[in-house]
Amino acid sequence: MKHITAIAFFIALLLSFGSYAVTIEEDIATMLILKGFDCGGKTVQKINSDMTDDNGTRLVNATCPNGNTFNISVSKKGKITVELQK
Amino acid sequence: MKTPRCSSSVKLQRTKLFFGLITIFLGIMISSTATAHSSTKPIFVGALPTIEIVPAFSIDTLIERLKSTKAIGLFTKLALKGDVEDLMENIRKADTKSDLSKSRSEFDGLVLKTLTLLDDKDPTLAEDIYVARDQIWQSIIEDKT
Repeated sequence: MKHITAIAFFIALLLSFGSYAVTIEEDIATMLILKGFDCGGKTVQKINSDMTDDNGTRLVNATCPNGNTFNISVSKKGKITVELQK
Repeated sequence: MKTPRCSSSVKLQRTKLFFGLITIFLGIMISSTATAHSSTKPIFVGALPTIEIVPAFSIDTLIERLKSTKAIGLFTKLALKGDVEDLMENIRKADTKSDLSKSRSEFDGLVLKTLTLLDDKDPTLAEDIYVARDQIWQSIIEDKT
């Protein structure tokens, strides 16, 4: 009985750790909502590109469930700029 | 009348039996004592003075916990950092009381955003930030002056 309880406890612990991490799709959607952009969901539908340029700036292009596509850039210093792609 | 003499093997068997019984008896005594100890009620039943341990406030610890929490993703953390930097800039520029009270409402909004993000996945950190919000604000104001 004690073994079963211990196993159940560790499974619950593992599941709780697993549910902790946020996916990049959820993260980008949350950031867009925080910055006041309309995304139409809690997660972006597709990340079209994710690359880093020569200056060390990360450039992400993502499409939201409502069809809005955003160009997101993160500078080396951590400054985020978001642009709605037309 | 003569008592029948025991042979040495019978004596040995009796001695073994005697010590065996003593061992069993001692075993029962020890186990019952242990059980009695574990089931005894505490001696002091009356209300004991309770000591509430309040953790010391440390803004650096809270910042480190926010940085390391997995409840918020990198992009969201950077967006929050940008908001905090804007708020700090506004507070630095604030001259009048009304400016400061406006900054305080911005700060409250920022705390609310952070709590919403943490609420489901890191409730302990959310609670600690909520409890320390006034102290955080005080430390920001002290930095300004």
